[in-house]
Amino acid sequence: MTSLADTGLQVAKRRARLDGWTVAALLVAALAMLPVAVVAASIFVPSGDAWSHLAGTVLVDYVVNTLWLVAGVAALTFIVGVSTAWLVTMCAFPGRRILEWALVLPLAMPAYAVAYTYAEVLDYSGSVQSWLRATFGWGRGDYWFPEVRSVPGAVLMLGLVLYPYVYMLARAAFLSQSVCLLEISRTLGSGPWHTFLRVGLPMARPAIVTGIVLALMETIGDYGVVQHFSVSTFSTGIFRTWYGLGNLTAATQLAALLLGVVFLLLAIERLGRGGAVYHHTTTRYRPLPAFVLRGARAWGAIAACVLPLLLGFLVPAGLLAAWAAQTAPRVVDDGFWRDALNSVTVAALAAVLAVAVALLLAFAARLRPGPVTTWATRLSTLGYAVPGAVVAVGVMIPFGWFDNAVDSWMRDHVGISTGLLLSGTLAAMLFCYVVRFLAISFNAVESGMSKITPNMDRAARALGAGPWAALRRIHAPLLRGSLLTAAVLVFVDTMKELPATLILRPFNFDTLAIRTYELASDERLADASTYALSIVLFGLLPVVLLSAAIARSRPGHS
Amino acid sequence: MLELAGVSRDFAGMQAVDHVDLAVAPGEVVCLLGPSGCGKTTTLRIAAGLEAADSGEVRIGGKVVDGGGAFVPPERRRVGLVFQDYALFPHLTVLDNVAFGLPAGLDRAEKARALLSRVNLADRATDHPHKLSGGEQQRVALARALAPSPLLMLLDEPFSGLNFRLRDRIGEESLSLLRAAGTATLMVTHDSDEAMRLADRIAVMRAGRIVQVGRPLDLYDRPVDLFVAEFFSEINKIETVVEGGVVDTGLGKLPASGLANGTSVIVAIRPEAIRPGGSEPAQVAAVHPMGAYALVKLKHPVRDIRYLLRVEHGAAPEFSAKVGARVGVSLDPRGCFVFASEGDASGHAAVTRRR
Repeated sequence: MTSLADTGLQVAKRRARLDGWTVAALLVAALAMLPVAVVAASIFVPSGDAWSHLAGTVLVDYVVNTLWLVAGVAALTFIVGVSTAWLVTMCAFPGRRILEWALVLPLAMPAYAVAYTYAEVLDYSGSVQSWLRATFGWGRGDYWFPEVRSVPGAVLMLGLVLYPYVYMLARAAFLSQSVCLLEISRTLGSGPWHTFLRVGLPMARPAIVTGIVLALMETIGDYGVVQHFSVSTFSTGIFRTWYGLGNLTAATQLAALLLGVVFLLLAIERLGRGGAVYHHTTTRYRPLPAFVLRGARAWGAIAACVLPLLLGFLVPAGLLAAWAAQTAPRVVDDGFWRDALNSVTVAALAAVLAVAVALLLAFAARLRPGPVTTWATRLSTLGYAVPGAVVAVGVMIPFGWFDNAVDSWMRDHVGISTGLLLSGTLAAMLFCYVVRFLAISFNAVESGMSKITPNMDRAARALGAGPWAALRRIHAPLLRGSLLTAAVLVFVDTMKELPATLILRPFNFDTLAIRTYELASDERLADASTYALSIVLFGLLPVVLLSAAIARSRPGHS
Repeated sequence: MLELAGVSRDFAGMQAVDHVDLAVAPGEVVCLLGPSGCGKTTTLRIAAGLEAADSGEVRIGGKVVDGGGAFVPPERRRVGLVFQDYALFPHLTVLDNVAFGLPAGLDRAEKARALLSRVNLADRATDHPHKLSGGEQQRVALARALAPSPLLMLLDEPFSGLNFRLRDRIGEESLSLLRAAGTATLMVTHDSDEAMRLADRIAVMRAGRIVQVGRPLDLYDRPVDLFVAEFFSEINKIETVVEGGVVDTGLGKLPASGLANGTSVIVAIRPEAIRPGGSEPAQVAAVHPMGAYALVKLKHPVRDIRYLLRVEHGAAPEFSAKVGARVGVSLDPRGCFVFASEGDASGHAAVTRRR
């Protein structure tokens, strides 16, 4: 008895000490916070009249457009994500099994690729309007056609590819709800529709809010869609102020404002969850009830689920494929393969780095649990919420200082110029990606880690396995899947990432995303299609993983 | 209040509920008793409208709610339902849980509060369910189900989540509340003691069929087959054959009324039907003191038969003196039942009647 108590005391003492794990976690947190801190600090730097110029002219546009985008995407992803999730989870209709996973497919589409495709088809000179004119003999101004290059157009594009965030989280929430609760609601006099509104929906609220906030993070970070549609937002403002006006300070301050929006969203998420991760009052599951839909209702359900899939994936992917089929022979040359190799190399490096750092954090949090490591992990994973352009700006500035400082010191003391060591190199890009995507890899690693209970460690130790043997024989095999998932997710997100890559890439360093963007900007969409399609194909990888994960997430549900 | 007539339901070829007939009167508590997988929960779910019957008819309050092409969904059946794990809504307070089934109106909260007081939980109204103990959750679930004044209350193992001391008290309190409200109650359980203690009538189910329905003691004293006999207590089973109109148990002969000579039978003897003291010789094989009584295993002096009986603490000291002691017993025929075995080699004789 006494020996047990003694051991407990020792463990408690050891926790308080600052050791290697804790220091490592703190170091990661400090590095990850660096870009955000730099950007936030910029509001104290005077930027001259550029700022007052901004405030007097375009700033209102930035704010208003960003708000419209946020409101529109929130509404669209909520409606599409929740309704499709409820239909495929709770109702039985033909095609449901396929739609269950197919509804995640738009996630593979970079928003900018969808925007380029639709703009090409729906523009005045696009095939749809041309066909209308030719068929009905209309001329310019004879007819009304919705302008795709507009705020509603951007909302639609972003909503179509971002609703899967809400869909996935809502579906997981619906799946985890005990059917008993829904059945009780039925016997208490609520029909299926009221049961959804009074029980299903409120219980899924935390998950739905999180899904919408994730979609909104992507929305405010988006550069490709709004730039192509000439919708002025904070993202395009940062680029314009920096590259157009050449005012880095003002650009950084715009980034700081955008950061403010992000923290507002994070606060909304906290509030929306109401601190309530609902404790499941019941642990019994039975196969989900499946309200069987027939006739018109079945067709309605199919239409509601197929439409987003069609518009968010099948049509744009189909168009891209059709164009690529024509232009690929011409487009695919040494340049294409070089860009593809660049993309894959950078994404793979980012994935490995992000997973390694995530492992370090996860082990620190496990081996040295306490407020210090908790906060370190929390701060380290904040980057997912910060738009790529903001992180990029926040990386550029300190790295630039560092390079200049080293360079001038070396010139003064050694007499050689070192030039750019960090900024404008792969190092800056990789650093930015890891900061931005660490949360993704960390969550995947941690969820894998949580399946390894401390008692498994203890059992392994009691059976004579030392810490390293336990790591090799218990942790590694159990974690393998999670690590792979983490790596794939970071890999694909890096591949799709546009604004940060645009800002940080070394001179003459092109990737698939950059070339897609450049060709589309030059209105050479047919040429861009092969590049865009390659990104989509890589993007399908995690979608497959995610679909499988959702299907497995319900106990006793095959 | 509830009438099931020839109700059947099969799942992928397995007959889960097979021609079940059962009625529950207002204020009556009927227990559906059976081992897991016997179809009792499916029967309950059919009554609730959570499953549809494949054939047969379900009537509640004289109105057909399932059968003959009609199907009334659960929300319009006026049934209350309490699950084993209570299934309280985690996002609602205790009061809102109880008020869930009440129509919107000024007195809604009042009514819910009144119900909470009836289950002595008025002071927990603003708490969320996870803050409540198991017993409290059970009472909230009951109050919630009672709130819309259901005609029929359906309880699915409602007390098995509670520890056994709480179970007795809460079970009795709950059912007296339901009896007072005049609600017809159908309760599913696999616990024969619970059914025995709480039910007005028990319906024993096996493999989708109701094997026997009756008052608890009638079932105990007059089981229709070995399955029912075995469900309520441990039982001594002796395989033998009818000779000269009687069966030989090894501890005396019993009449084999209605069974022809030569029929293979299983004699079921409840432990308490073997009484210490008497002329039938036996030998003590093992003794397990249980406190208030001792479980004593006897063996036949000649034949290879073993018997289990209960001996009150201090009642017959020679039974627990030592293993191998020779003792005398007598048989109380009221606790002995003779069933024809249906060629079932496992000894699990099943004299089931098709209904």
